[in-house]
Amino acid sequence: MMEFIFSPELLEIIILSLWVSGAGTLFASILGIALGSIIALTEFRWKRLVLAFLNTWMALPAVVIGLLVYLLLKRSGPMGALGLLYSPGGMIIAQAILATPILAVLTTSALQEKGRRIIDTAHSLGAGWIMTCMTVVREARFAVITAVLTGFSRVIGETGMTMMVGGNIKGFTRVMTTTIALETMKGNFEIGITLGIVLVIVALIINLAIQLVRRVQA
Amino acid sequence: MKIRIENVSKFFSGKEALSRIDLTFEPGSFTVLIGPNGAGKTTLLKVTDLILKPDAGEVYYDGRPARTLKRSEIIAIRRRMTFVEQNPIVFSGSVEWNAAYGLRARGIKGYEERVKEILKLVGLADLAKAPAQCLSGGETQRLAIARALIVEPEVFLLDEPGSNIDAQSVSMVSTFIIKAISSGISVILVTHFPEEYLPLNPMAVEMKDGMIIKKESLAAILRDRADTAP
Repeated sequence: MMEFIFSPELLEIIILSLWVSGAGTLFASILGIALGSIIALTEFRWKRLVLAFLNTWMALPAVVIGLLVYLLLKRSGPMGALGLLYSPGGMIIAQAILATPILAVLTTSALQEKGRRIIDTAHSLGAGWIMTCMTVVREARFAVITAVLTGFSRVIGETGMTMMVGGNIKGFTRVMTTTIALETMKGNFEIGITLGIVLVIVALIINLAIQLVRRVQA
Repeated sequence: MKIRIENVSKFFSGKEALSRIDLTFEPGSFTVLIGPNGAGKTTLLKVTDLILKPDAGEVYYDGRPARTLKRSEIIAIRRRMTFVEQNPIVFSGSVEWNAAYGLRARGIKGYEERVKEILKLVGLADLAKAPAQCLSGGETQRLAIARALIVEPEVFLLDEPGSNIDAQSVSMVSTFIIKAISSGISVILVTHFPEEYLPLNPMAVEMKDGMIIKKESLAAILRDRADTAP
């Protein structure tokens, strides 16, 4: 067990977990923040329906998203030719899909209250399109950072979906959560506990970061 | 800048906020908009400032219809006006950073002295480095007026600048409005207390339910009110 704790394999698993979840959150941030901004700051006919869809998407069990992504990426699926099933790329897609509604909904609620007024004030002071966007981002930055951290904490702890899409291949798609599941089934509780502690530390860092953001905001 | 509002209507969720408004603001004029809450005064200011698009009718800026303006032209016209809301918001950042916002938007550099001057004028010089979001209601209102006036607009739109602030700030705000008028800026002011502007002999527009019900000198409207009062 001690060999595993101090092995490059563990480090590799931790780095892959952070990389996959980081990249998934990054893509989700681009899509979710843009979507949330559009919903909060513009008026369109199907706004309530889109919000209801996003809330439903957010409430979907991760394994359902895993199943959908699996069907999409499997060899005979619409994106099968890309060969992304059982690869970190496939895991990133699944995690991005999981985190996108979280980011979109949190961004919407962050901007809905004050966003329109920020835009109107910036416009009335003569700001152009770029300066207005920069002002909105600047004013909402703490809420958006909190949304990104929330999205990241959601995806890094995901197991079932990651296992379905990634396959838990040693040295290639094995991440912390899937290793914990596997090693527990094999009876290697020490390894599971070690990785669990790493996950707890990651969660703690994220929560401390959220608290710090909120304190700076206050 | 001459602003002509022609047959403008605006709806919110099916309710008519402005109904066939016809109005002209001449360069250097002073107009007071009066009327009860929900009369459409704020909506009219926002339509004039190009923040809201009318659902019907047209607004002309120096004869140019707003609907035909390109995005860059809209920004250029907006830069000739400034609008101070009833409860203005300030951005996160220092008081001086907020005061200089409009100057940065216009690409004006080397504005430090100008900012110092305007903050001194509104009594916020000592708070220049303080976070703007920590200001009181009256200080926020004064900062909003400072950041609007610093850009030397041609048209200055104010929405009930005296509401929700202390007596000292109210008198300071009135002084700025009077200064703006005397320096040739067109002022369009929404107020529930028009009496204090009587000496400046403004044109008054009385609104109700999104419509203009009277359009004459403030003195005449106040005289009528006094005559009809029980």
